[in-house]
Amino acid sequence: MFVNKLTKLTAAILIGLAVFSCKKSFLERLPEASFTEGLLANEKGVNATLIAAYGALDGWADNGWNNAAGNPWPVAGSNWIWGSVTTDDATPGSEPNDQHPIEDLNRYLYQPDNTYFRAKYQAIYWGINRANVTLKLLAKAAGISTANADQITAEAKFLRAYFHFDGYKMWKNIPYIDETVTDYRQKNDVDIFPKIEADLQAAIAKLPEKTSNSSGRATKGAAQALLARAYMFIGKYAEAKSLLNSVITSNKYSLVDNYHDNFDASKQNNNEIVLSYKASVNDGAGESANGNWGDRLLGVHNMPGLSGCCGFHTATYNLLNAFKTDPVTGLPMANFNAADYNAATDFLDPRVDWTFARPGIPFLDWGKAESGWARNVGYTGFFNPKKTAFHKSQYKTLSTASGWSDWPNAIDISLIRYSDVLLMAAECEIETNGDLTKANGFINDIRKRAWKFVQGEGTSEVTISHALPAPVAGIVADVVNGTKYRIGLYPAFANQAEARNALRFERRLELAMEGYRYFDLVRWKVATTVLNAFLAVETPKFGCFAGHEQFTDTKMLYPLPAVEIQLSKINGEAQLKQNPGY
Amino acid sequence: MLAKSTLMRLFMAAGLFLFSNILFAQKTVKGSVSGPDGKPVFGATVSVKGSNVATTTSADGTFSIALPRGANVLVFSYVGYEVSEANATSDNVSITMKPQSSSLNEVVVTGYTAQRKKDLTGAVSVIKTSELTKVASPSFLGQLEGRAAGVQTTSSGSPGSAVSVRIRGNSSFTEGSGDPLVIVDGVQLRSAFLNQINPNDIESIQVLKDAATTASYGIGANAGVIIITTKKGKVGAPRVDVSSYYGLQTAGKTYEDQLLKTSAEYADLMYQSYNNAGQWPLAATTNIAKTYGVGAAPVLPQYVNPLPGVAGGTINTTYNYPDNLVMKASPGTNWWDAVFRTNAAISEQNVSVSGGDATGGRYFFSANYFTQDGIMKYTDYNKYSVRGNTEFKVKGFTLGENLTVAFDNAVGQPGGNQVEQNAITEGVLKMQPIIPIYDEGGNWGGTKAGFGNGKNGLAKLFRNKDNRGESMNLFGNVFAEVKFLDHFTARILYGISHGWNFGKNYTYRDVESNEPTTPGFTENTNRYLNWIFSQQVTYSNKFGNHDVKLTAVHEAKLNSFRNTSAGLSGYFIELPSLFYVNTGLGDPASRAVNTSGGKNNAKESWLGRLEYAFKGKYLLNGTARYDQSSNFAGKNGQLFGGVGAAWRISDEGFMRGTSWINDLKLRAAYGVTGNDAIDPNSNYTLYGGGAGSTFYDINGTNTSAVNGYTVTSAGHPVVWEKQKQANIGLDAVFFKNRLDASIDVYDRRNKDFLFQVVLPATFGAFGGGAIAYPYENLGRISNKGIELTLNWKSNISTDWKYEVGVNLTSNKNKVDLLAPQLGLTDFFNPTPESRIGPLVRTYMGSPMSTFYGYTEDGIFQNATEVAGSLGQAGAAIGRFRWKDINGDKKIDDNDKGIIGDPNPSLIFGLNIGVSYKSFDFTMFLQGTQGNDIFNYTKYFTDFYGFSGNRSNRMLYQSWTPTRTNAILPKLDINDGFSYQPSSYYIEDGSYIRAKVVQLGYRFPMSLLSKAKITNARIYIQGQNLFTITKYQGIDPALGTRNNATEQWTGIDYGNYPTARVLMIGLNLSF
Repeated sequence: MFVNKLTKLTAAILIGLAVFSCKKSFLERLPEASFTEGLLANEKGVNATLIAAYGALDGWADNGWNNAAGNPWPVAGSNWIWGSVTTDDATPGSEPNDQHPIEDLNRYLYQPDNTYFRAKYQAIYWGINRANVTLKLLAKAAGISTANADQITAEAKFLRAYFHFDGYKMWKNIPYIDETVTDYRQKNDVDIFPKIEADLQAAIAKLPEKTSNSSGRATKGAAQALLARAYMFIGKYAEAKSLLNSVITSNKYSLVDNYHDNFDASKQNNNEIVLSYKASVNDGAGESANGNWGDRLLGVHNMPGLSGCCGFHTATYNLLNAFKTDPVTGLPMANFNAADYNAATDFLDPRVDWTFARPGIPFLDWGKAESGWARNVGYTGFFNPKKTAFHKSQYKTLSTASGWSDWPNAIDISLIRYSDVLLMAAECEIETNGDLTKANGFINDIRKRAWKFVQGEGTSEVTISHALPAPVAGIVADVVNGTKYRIGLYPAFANQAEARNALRFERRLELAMEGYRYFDLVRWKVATTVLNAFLAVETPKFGCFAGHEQFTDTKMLYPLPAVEIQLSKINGEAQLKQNPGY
Repeated sequence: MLAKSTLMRLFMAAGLFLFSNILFAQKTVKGSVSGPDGKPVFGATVSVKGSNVATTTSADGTFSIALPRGANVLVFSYVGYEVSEANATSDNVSITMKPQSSSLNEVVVTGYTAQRKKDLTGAVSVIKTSELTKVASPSFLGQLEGRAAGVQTTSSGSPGSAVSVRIRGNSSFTEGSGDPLVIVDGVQLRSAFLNQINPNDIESIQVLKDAATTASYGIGANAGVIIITTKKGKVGAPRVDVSSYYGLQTAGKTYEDQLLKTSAEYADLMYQSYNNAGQWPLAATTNIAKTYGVGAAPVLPQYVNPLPGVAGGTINTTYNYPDNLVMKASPGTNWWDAVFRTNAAISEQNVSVSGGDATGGRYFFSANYFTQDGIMKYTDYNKYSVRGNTEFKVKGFTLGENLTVAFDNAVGQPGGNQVEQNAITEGVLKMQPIIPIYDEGGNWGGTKAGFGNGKNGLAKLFRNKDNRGESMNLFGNVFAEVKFLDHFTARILYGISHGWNFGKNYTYRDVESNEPTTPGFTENTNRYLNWIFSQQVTYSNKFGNHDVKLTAVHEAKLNSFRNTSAGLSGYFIELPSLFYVNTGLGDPASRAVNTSGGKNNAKESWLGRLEYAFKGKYLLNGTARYDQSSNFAGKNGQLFGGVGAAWRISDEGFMRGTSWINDLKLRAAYGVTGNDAIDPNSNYTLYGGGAGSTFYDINGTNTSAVNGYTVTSAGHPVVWEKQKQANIGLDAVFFKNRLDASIDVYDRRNKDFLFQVVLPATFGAFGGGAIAYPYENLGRISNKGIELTLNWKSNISTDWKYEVGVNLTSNKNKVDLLAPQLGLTDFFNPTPESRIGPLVRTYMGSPMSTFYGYTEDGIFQNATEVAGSLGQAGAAIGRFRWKDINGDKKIDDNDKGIIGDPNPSLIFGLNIGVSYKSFDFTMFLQGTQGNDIFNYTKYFTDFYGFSGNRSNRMLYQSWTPTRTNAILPKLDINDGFSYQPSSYYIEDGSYIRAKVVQLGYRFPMSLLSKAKITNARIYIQGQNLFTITKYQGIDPALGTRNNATEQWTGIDYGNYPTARVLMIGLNLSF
């Protein structure tokens, strides 16, 4: 009876309260201030996701600090740490214990828990994911013509391959992530090269040739050059050769007259750039986050009028010496590092002063570089990088003040240059026992361009460049800013070995401090010899090499990041296996 | 101050009511009311039984009341005393009131209903607000520390900063899920509002801990429920209460004793660090050499100059600030002194006016002003709040409302608290003593030219002084209640809370710094608007031995949030009055980004609750609740509930003879609650981005970017996180009500706990513009513990009284299971910033959020030991040796593991009160035991993390060939290994703190009655007078970051120190 009464009572009360119950829509809330998938599943939306994927080419987005990833420099699209600091070209710069992880890398203390390895690894897959997002959204989108869909697919696959190859160069053994992956704890026990190859082949098939307004987009030429680079990385020179020949014969690309134009923010939409990260500043993004943030430490430390930050990525004496040329032929010297460059007696390749600062020599239009601009001479010297420096006349128009640094700027990060294409083509001829004359021609094309302009007196935008005189008997010589410049052409190569030496030296000079060197030394399998010889001579010159380890063949692959191995565990077993030797 | 005329009107209104009653009276009875000590009781309510006639006693304890015809029983009531009745047979009735026998008669609000504490079946802590307000704090949360078993609070010492509260340990990982629900007068408040409640307005605080009581709140009640009832007017003459205190604050402990004090010591450390690395002597042109001396036996220069080519030993005659600061290097700067101040003021003024008449009109008004200067210079916090509530009976309905309006503003530590970059505003830990506060020209000294990236802390604070944040909060409710059909009560309530926050920040260029900040201005505004609409019907009846109460509730809630942020730089003139986001004032080309966002969440709930008692001995209650939250799109609904039972053993016949036990009750409760604290949109795959994160200059313009978007949040459907909790408790009162004891044993088990698992990099989340990891229902977490509360109260003589209260909680936290379907055995907690890799990891079978790193195993003493280092990276004589944890004879990442546990095994509070005649003394101690702290500040002070100041430990306790028992590795500027996360950073965080020591004096009535004052008391107090701890940092009671976080705890990034406060206060009533 009592229970019965309670039941009736409850029912009556509930019916009474039901009057107040909400409409169903009350509990249905659409996300605020974000797009849901349905809103972007159309041509406009898919293109926007593709733009975001291109934006990942510099490895970094946002002006955020203090996030899980850390800092922009380990992930810089220019690979200045991974391709340059770890070689005979450069030191970390700065001063002791500023960015320990770079110092460890510079000393060949490759530890899997070096936080920079993880940052770079993350950045690569972050870019890959953006490409995959495009492909996934495209599959759901409506109203896109087949032609447009094909091009979007090709561009996304190009980018996906670009990022994977960037990782492949570093670690080789990494998982390939495409748009079908759902469990991200993937194994790395299969060679992913065929997948990189497949994506690039697909891209080549559908990408258009470069046009005057291609600008930042992937083109057929870019995809061919990238696939060639990839083939060469694993020694498939023949496959690379035909691709490079297509790029060259397409006649879409050419070398610009002034070598420096490739590093001048205002002149980078030129025919030499095959692919680049298009940096932009003062464009409405907080702290100009679309600038080349990864290179923001590469400013000169005590440049008058700028903040006192940075001073990273300085050149070695070894690199300076490599620019020495023969007093007669104007060609590189075999025993270049036997003695340090002496201005009174030695001659230099003009490209040296487009590559790094030397005290007493003008620095673009900033006036003469002084030893006091350096952060710590005894530690890393005073050869501050120049290819990543903006002009004084561009201060605050093509550069930006950002946080504690005046350095982020609009200098594009050149990812594939036509001079690289020519040098790759030359290398393929040489390595396939092909046409050495053709190779000689490509190398001399590079040198002929190099002899046109040198750093001028540098007091204004106009005097940044100084035109060198016309060649006499295949040699250009001049004395500018107290420096004796001399550069000559290679005579016909006698044999493959001679051609190979010339090619490899030219590659170092032309692409110095642009993030290629380490990967070149690795694929040529000379890293151990070259780097240990370099260390033996350079260590007494700079404090930053004190306590270094020897380079070994094991180190030709970087170690996979320790944390990522931990994160890949399924039932306690890591799916990701560490590279051998670590 | 309330206007005098208003007071007059209130008096007149009260008088009119009395007058109207007298008109119909038949007989007037006079009398007096006194307490057990024979002193008159002022303000006691005297009412006539069976009528609505009532009055209150005056200051001398006398009253006069008109008896309606036929009535002859008077009822006397007063807070803290038992209600008593007396027959009005004569014209003069005098009674002596008895103090309430024990706390068991206190009324406890347990959610939607109220019960006497003696009838509770669950674990509820009732906190005395009189004790709470002894702690000088703008927030009741700051006062809760150590006051109740099972309740742990942490807060930064920074003025006005948020307080984090945990009840019975951490149990969940999603943001906000660790915060208990706070219900104020029936309306749930966001944690951000809690600072705005005037602690003096709180009548009572109840903490619901067991699931049978928290189940009433179902949704989001996993972390416990705090119920606050605010003060209401009491029937009687208007009463004015004034309280006021003033205090002076000084940091309890500083870094001064740990850091190098002189420039000479610092230079010595640098010399050794370079020399041991084979890098001394340095080239004379390097900054290091210019700063710390040149040559084999360097001598510190008298001046340090930044300009190249200037010798260190002389003043440059071409002084030109800031290009050429001339700084005197010695003797050395005490950067703590530069940044902190002593005797910073703290004070509060509070006044309330309350009263009511017997016919049902009641009112309470209060005003509060709290102001606090930070012990960090140029920081402060100010709060103003007013509150009013009234209640009237109109045609059988009770109508009322509550409204609080609170405004506060603050200048806080620039950059926020517990932010690694900021280690105490960058000044204290990150500045070498060699840098003076001012240079020789009287301008700011700084790191310009090669002293690391530290900032002049004083300059930073000075420049920040106009960056004042403000917030305005309104919250309150209106309600109507009606009784009908004898046993029913219906109540309808609409509540609202609205918060508006404004922040502005102008960053001046710190020209004296090595890496000066770009000047610029940002301002942001956000708004919270939450409402609740609830309807409740209660049926309450007693028949025979049965006592039944049945409650049904329906409620709907909406929480919404919106923010806007904008910025500009390139200001034409840098003046605070010009800091607006107006391109006419700054550089339009700076085109700083404007952003805005929003979120909202809706909930609807149904609740049924039954409370039943048989003979008052056997108590039973049950709750069933159906909740729907829009956060789980598609799977909104979830049923929650709980049952509780209690047996009052002391009422059984066989207990009659046991006179030393006054009350004994056994309780048991079980229930299920939930957690919906996830991102409201987590079910959707979302796309977005912004100018700096996804846009790209595809056209190569150099100065513009094309819109790009990408996935920002990977949608994944999840279900509610549920918690089952069992609780068994015993309440007892012994020895003539002198000893009050409660013991509770609980077992909380979270199932399907929600977490955004950190996925491998292959997922694609990274850095800026990151993709939010998807939520997963991950596994099970348990918290098992025991709580003990003891209160002893006794009189030694009429003059001497004392009381002792203890509360202890022992809790054991464990992650019992991780999702087998995912094959997870552990996961990394999303750690806050760390330059040395992840610091926090959670393993199945271990407590949540343990510290992760190498275990340090001494220092390599010789080449033989180094040779046997098992391949440890960077092994060298004088460096740390890591332990081979997994025994594979190889030191690598797999040897990292749990090195510490931030969860305390014991938390406790001890309160001692003694009074002698008019004097009273209180001492309150609290602390924790068994928790570890990751002292991250050692990264800066004990290794080479940036070029800041270093600890004495580093200079005097580092390894040398003759100091082999050192605690730190050999000084070596190239040592890039020793700083890795290891057990070296871990310290015992246990402590005992004297939170409050207070001595009070109550003025005698004889003195006061002439001035018509009913109560006057003054006191002096010391707060945080001493702390006993082994922890080396400045404060083991670590503050939270700007927001409480569930995902990591116990990391010291440079904690804002807790101040020692000396204060004097006054309470006055009339």
